[in-house]
Amino acid sequence: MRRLELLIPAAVLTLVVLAVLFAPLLAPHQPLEQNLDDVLGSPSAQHWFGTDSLGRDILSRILYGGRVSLSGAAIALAVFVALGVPLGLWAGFTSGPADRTITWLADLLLALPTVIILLVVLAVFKDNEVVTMVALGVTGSTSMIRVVRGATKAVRGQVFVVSAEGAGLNQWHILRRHVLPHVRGPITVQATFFAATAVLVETSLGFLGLGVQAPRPTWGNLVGESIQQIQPAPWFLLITGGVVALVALCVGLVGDAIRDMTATEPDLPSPSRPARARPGTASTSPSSGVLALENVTVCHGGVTPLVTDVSFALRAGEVVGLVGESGCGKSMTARAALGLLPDGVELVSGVVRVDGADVAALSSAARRRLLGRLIGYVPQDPVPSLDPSFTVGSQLAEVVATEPGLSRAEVRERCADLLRRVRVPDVPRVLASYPHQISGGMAQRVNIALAMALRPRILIADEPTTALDVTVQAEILDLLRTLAAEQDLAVLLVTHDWGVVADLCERAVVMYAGEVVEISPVATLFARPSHPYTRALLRADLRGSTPFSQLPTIPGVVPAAGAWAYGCRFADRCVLAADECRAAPVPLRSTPDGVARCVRSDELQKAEVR
Amino acid sequence: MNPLLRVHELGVRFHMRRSEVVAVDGVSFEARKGETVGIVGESGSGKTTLTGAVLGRVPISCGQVVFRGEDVTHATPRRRRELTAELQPVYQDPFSSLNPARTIGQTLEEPLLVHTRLPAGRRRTRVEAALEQVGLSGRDLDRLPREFSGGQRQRIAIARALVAEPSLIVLDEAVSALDLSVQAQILNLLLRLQADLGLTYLFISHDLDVIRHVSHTTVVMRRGQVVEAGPTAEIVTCPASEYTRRLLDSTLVPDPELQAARRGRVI
Repeated sequence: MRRLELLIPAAVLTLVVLAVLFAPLLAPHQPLEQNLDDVLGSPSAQHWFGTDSLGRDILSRILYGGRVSLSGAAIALAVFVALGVPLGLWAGFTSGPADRTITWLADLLLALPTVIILLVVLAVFKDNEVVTMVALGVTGSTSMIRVVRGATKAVRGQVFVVSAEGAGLNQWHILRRHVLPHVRGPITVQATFFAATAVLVETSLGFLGLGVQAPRPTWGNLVGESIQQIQPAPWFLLITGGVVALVALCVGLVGDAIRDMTATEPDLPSPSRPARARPGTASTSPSSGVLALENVTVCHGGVTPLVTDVSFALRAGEVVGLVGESGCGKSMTARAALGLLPDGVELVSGVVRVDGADVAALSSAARRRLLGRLIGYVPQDPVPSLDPSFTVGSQLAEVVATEPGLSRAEVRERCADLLRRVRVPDVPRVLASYPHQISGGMAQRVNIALAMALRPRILIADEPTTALDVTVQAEILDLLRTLAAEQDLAVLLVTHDWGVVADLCERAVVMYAGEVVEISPVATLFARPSHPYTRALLRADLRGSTPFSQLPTIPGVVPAAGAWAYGCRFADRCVLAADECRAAPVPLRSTPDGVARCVRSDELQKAEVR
Repeated sequence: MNPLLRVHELGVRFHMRRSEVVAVDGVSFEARKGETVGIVGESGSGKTTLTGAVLGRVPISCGQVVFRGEDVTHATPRRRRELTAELQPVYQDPFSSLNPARTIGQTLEEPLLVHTRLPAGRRRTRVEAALEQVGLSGRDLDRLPREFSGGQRQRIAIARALVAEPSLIVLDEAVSALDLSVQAQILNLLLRLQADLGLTYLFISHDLDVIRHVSHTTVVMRRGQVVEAGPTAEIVTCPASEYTRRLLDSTLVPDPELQAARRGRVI
């Protein structure tokens, strides 16, 4: 049914276009050939559509007239697409000044009356058809810019686009491969509706006696002529007007059919936005390792901090947990390390060192290339992180092929090898599958393979098992452990689950309200936490609790980023809080085998956790 | 004593274009008044479909749902509406389960408008009482959902279930989206409400640790079928089925040494 709705109008259109294109071959008469003996003749075997007031064959004039009208519409359409699509993609993808400028220009064009512009252009360029149609395309392109920009923005926030950036692909590649396929639907629909408009505008101008002048036929001036003859020859208007209406209708129907077909695609969910925050303090603590964050402060809108003064380092082969509740800044810290902060959020101070090099000093393109190669990223939601319109194999190949000098066969072999390394059982089947055809656990293996594709030194995994079933979780954790050991990878594991920390990590960095509150080896952390927040959060874990008992809780909630206390940010919820805690910001202090941000951590060491 | 809810050989089938999917297959269990039945299973186990069938939202293909001795398997729409006062759900996502455009008072009042003919003043008293039961205050009535944190919203969702004074609350992954400390607060609240009001819970979760903490009896489901069912203490200490044992072994322990020792056993 759907197919017929598209096929019938498309077939009619193709016929009309072909007939017009081959007018010199098909037309039975010359368009200007007069026969004053046979004026306003009714349709006959010799003149299928009859003759006009000068005895010219109407069919031939329509075929030749279509060449002017349709090519005019084609010019307008070409300008409309050529201008609207790139500008829309650019505005939607980059945001910032380019976006603002393009949107502003589009708004300005939208405010100008199209009809008046066209009349002015016609007057200035002396009825030049080409220039007029270019002008129509330019004024119309605002609608294309807006639609493409909106659709691009929606796709831009999708996890698979963020993941592609994380893999170090360049922007042009991401736009072409991952964004364009998802905005193709709206582009096609906009283009067809504009094509219908362009045909109607062109014929209207002809009808008003503007543009290409008689005796050269256009569909517009044919309609105009036929109106004059409506009394003696009513079929004349029926035929000329009918052709224009038929073409506009068919173009519109094609657009409708395409819109209905693309509308069945699932809606893209909107990306989450970071919370707002307020300034804080900074201190220094030197560190070294494969990945080192030194006094990293990340702000939203340049003023409100989301993460303040975070320092820690990862050695090769080490798995470190970044722990905390939502709103504590752990994901933002991980994104700062990846060089992938969301729009409006930036690194305002501090250094991110990868292999000793300060990556913040690099340009954003160079940083993305470097980090894409050195750091692999494993996302939380395995299936949405893969592009639904490409097979697993083609998504792997895309990343593998960024390494120069590989033949197709080598790329294919490298992809299969990657999947084997993440213990995928049926490699050929998974390579040929689309993301929705594989299970969540399998999709997470594919994401890990993607992260490993360029042989990174560091893996950053953001809650990699939260969306998975428990039995699958164990397998993925085992895989990460094996990879870290075999390939000497440094792994930063963002998690809120103490069980995952206990299972996989050697050290843990605990964050609260945007700052590090404790860094300790896990054995120490679980046995003798040095910060009251760590202790309280461990106690809130119901594993090992007595069934039906009231669990120990932390009163209140994690303060929003704007509402951090001046002194210890945890003081308001802390059972050990004293006046000195609230008096001044608490610095990180050394503990026997780590650091903690608590003035009473020594006392805490003496108390038993459980 | 008769159980409050008895589910007997329940089956739910969905007809797809060509094939038929058996989402729930021959599931039986009983919930006694004041107790909690925990239903645990991984994705695709049919636990959510099962709750839909109990709540009357999913058509039942075979078997029986008996509530207070009354067969409600194919209750009329009118009887179903009456039953909703007795059977209230609380869902997983505290962000999407409350209408963002309505105040807390308006949302909480709805069950009373449907099920009672109380005047506005009495409705307000009931709503305030429900809010206080979940640890919020009557002052919150005129605020919108966006002004509350995730944990507070889940309290509001629980208050909405309480307003109609139900006897059974179906908790569908009700603490799964919450942070650790907030999850503990909500579990404490649920346990306290059960003790105070004699509520019966049908507690659905993928998390065996949560089920162990709150359930008197546990039903382990897999691919629409009951793998094993019985008193929770027995199931978590000496599981009869291989699958339950695997679930138990796969859960993580927040203790590095113990977890390292367990790791060897996980397949």
